[in-house]
Amino acid sequence: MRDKAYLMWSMLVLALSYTVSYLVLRECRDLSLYAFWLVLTLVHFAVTLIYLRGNVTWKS
Amino acid sequence: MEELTAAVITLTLYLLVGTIIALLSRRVGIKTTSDYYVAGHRLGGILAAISYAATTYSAFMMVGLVGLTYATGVGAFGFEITYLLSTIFLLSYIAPKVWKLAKERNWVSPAEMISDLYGLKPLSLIVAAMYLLALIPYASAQLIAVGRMVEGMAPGLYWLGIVLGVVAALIWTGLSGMWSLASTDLYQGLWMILAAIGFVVWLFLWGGSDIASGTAKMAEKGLLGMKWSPLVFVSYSIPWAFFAVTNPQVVQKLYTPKDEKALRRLITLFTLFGLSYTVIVTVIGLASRALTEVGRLPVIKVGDQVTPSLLSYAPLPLAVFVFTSIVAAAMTTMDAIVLALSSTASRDVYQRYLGGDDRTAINLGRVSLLILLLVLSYVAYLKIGFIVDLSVLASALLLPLAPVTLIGWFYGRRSRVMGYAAAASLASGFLIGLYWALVHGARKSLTTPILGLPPTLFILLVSTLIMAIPLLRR
Repeated sequence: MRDKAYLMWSMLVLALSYTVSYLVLRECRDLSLYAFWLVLTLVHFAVTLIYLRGNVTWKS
Repeated sequence: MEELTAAVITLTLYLLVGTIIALLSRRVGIKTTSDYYVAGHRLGGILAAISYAATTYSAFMMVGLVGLTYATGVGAFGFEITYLLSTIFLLSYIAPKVWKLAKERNWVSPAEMISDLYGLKPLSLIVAAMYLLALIPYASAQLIAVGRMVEGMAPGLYWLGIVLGVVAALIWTGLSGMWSLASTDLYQGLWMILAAIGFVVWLFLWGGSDIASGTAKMAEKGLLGMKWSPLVFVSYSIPWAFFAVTNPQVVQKLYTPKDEKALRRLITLFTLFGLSYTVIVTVIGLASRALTEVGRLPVIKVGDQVTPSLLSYAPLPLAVFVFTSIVAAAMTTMDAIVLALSSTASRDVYQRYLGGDDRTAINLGRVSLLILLLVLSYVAYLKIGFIVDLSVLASALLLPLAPVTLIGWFYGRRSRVMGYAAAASLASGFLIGLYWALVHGARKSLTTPILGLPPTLFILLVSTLIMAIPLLRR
């Protein structure tokens, strides 16, 4: 369950990385696109840390 | 003259410290090919993490990516960050399984891993051939970068850069294999990140408020939005998104941590290193463009010249420190590639086919390292233009390994049918990439669609479909 949730989350992150840049922030005139990718990576990293800490497959 | 002296002192110091570290690493006992090539699965987390990061981030970052960001704006950051997002996922989701399997089955070379997963011995030879064809240009491009950096600091001494690069690589990898490689990677990785921090701090102090005014002008030109076409963005980012599973020099690093804690630390520290380095490098590219927009820097037409042009304004010690960090970035990548290729020669060819003992296999590995480095130095010395172009293709040519490796890790059943499907998948994907490169040229082949699709996506789909057929039949 935990693995599946992390898999889904990662797919969502990758999908957002591709789509938001074209559908929402393509024409932006400030650093929003840069900030979006940076924040997305930081959030993904935070979620990954939680996943790594509690993942049972690490202990099996 | 002052520049030359500073360059000689810094390079000598860099090479001397690296060699001392490599010599110290000899204290670790090397008895088997596993000890030599994957440190006997006994590396600590910090060593494994920085070695992984230093191998991943080549001279492309401080030279190519700075130029790409300068020319195309924020989109270049997206291209590089997509790699990181995907790699964080792949490492966290898959690395524990791979690490465990590597320990259980005593994997040493990634080619051996593929053939073991599918129970088909000749697969390792197909994979080894792909590695050689794809990675020799890539590794040569790193050596060319070493030569050019030395030439930049000491004009006319390109050849000396090649010689120093080869000798250092031979000592730093040949002495104790993965042990000396990882120890020198740690040292060079720290050099890379410290130089990058110094560079960006100086740039902002030097550029001051001009960077902000230039950024506003960049916005008017659309450089803060997405300038990359979807086709180019997808085609360039797909091979990098799978880099962690297709490139042997990083796959092999997953076998090295000593325990789960070390593996977790590898993932965490690599991410921190990767994110910091990517942000710094792209910020340097954006700030340089901003300074061009307000006339502080001239217009730089060749992307690879942005960093050298910028460094010509920097204080000499910083410039030499950064130039040497680019040498370090190239060296770490080249060292890891030649060690991974050498493991294929001694393990997949010698030990698996001829049943040789460990001692002879290690010596044979050292000889193959020497031969590989001589080939690389010859190619680099000739400065053939298309070698750098071919190096761009490396990750695309290795892309068919993505479905084969991932399916092997998750569904590996050692069935002959799956083994044959893997061979067909690898061969077709690789040949499509090669054919497209021959028809359109290496660089253009990545941006010329195949049946309306980005070429790398097409290669990935074909390879995946071939692998899916026997899976669906089951």
